[in-house]
Amino acid sequence: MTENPQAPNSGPDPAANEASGTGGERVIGTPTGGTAGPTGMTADAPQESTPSSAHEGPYPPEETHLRTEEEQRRGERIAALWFVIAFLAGVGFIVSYFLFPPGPDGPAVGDPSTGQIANIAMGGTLTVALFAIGAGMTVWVRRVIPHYEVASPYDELPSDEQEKSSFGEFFMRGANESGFTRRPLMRRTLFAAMLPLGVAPIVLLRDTGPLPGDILKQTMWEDGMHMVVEGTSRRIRAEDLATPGGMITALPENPEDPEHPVSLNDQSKTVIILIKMRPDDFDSEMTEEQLGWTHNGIIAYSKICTHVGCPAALYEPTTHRILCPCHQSTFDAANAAKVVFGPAHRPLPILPIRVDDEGYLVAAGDFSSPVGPTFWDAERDNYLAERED
Amino acid sequence: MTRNGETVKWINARRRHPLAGYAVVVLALALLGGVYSVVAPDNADRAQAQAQSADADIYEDVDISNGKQIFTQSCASCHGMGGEGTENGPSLVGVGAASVDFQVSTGRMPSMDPDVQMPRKEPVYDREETADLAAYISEEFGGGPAIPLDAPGSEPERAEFEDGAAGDEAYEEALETYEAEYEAYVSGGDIDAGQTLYLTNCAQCHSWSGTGGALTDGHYAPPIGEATPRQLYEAMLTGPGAMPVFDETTVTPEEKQDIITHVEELQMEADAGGIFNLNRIGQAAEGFIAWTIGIGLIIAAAVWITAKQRAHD
Repeated sequence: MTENPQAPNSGPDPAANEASGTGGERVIGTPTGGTAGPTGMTADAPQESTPSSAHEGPYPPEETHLRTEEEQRRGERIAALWFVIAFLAGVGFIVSYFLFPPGPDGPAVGDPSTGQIANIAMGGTLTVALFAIGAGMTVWVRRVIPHYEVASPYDELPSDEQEKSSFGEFFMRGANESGFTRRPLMRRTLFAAMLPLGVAPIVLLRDTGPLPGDILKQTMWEDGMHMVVEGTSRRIRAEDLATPGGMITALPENPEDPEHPVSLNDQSKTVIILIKMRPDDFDSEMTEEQLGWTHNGIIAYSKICTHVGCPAALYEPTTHRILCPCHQSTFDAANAAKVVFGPAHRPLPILPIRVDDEGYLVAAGDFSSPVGPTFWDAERDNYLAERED
Repeated sequence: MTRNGETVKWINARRRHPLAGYAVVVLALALLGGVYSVVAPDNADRAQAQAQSADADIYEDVDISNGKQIFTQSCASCHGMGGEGTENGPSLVGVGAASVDFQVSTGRMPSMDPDVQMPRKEPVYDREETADLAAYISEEFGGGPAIPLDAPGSEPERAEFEDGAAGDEAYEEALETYEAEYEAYVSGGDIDAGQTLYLTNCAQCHSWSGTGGALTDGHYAPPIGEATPRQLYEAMLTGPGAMPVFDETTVTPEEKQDIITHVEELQMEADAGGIFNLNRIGQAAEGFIAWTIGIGLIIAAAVWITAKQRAHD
């Protein structure tokens, strides 16, 4: 088992030790009997840490072992092999750094097809180099450095009685002389002086407010606002969505500057998908009010999923389903975006639409419910309205 | 036999080795990776340019009677003799030539199994036959958008030309014309505008890199890496399968050209993932996979460094 000749005798049950220590596995070169440790072993340490006293620690006796010269030499060779690999990989790293010099058009690695090779060459060699250094050191520790337990007693920590009482006296004398115990006016006003500062951090919490009010429930959509195809500034007419099964992503036209899109903040709240279907495809469950929000088979849904706010726009005209790619929330576009599957728990908000005098599609008001991920009181208004009924 | 016996002995002698467990795991992972790389779809030929050419003549003198013959042979069994549709296939009344050209030129039709979504495959009919069939269906059953001839279609095939040197020459010439036309079309689009439109209206299903994605009920949005400009145009125009329609009025022909320019650019772009590419499933997912593998390796190293030494080490 171990090369320490005494170890087999030190365990609680020598018979068991002998049974598990199959002689066949003994490596050539290990000592055969009760002779002294082989050359190259530090003779003193094992003497201290062996038998009776030394094995109260976590290591059982059979795990306390030294290395034979033979084993150490083998470990040295393996560790050296790792270090040579690390050396070669390190050289390879430097070589691969210079293999991709910048060309006339800037760095060669800027080109994806060169970059992927450069990345793999440099990253790969650096990885191998660092790993091989670590692996070599691990082999060193496990194959060369001897492995045994060393006990070293702690100093006595508590101070003795005399030292304690003398410090106590000294401390109290200082306290009395400072007037802290004998002059209550000064002491109490000091406490009073500290009180407001102690309360201050709690008072400053006020800055986390005020509550957002209706900001989360409103967008910039309002009655009469034109809509444009996202990515262009072209207003949409009702007849532009000519074919049932048609779809387009739209934004409100910027009221201040029609040539440019609204701010990104507003885009993220106002973006809609316009879907065209046959008017008789709408489900009979839809209310009169909801049908009134559509125009000639065109219905506008918020593109922002009510689960965690991904763009939900995978519209399938064959099934009228809108799928959100993030968590597979599925909405029925033909039934006011009722949730038919997935983690979302309220329908996509509908933007009421109508046609203005010139035939352009315009909003007829703001969304039917708050846009985006559901928050603490997103449905409070609905709840209050229901309770009134 | 002897050799086998020796192998078994060799394994037996080493299977209790402390590193045997790690060796098995590494071998299993290597096997898995090897099998995956063999089985996984090959993207290598994705970037090759495809599509057709100065093919206006093909569409000018179509042979409608040949189209009718193809229809009777290959389409009527599912779509009905009058194109009215059966339980195996939808009605073709009013679908138009663009839809036929898309379905046939991408190899989706004729379909062998009407119950599953048809993947893209080698087309059964060549360009002339497809043109004949499209002309017949649009003439006979009416309606629908026409084939967008401005967008280049499939590349000419050598087999469409006569054998011999004259054929070679004709083929080379057609190929050259096609490539010039393709270049002109693709360079005519505004790639930035196309990218915006692609990301807002296409990427949700086909993914930002055009590799496609899952839909409901086991359907999927197909990868568009091999689609020709004309097929992309026809897909937007007709909304095949579960795809919505993008009318010429909501996405104008110029904007469609912008989108196509962006998609063709995507097709040409090398995947920077190199030999470790993950089919461009997206930055977050790729990062997660790299993180998982990295942490796994770090844990393995930590286990090795701190492993208790056994007595027979």
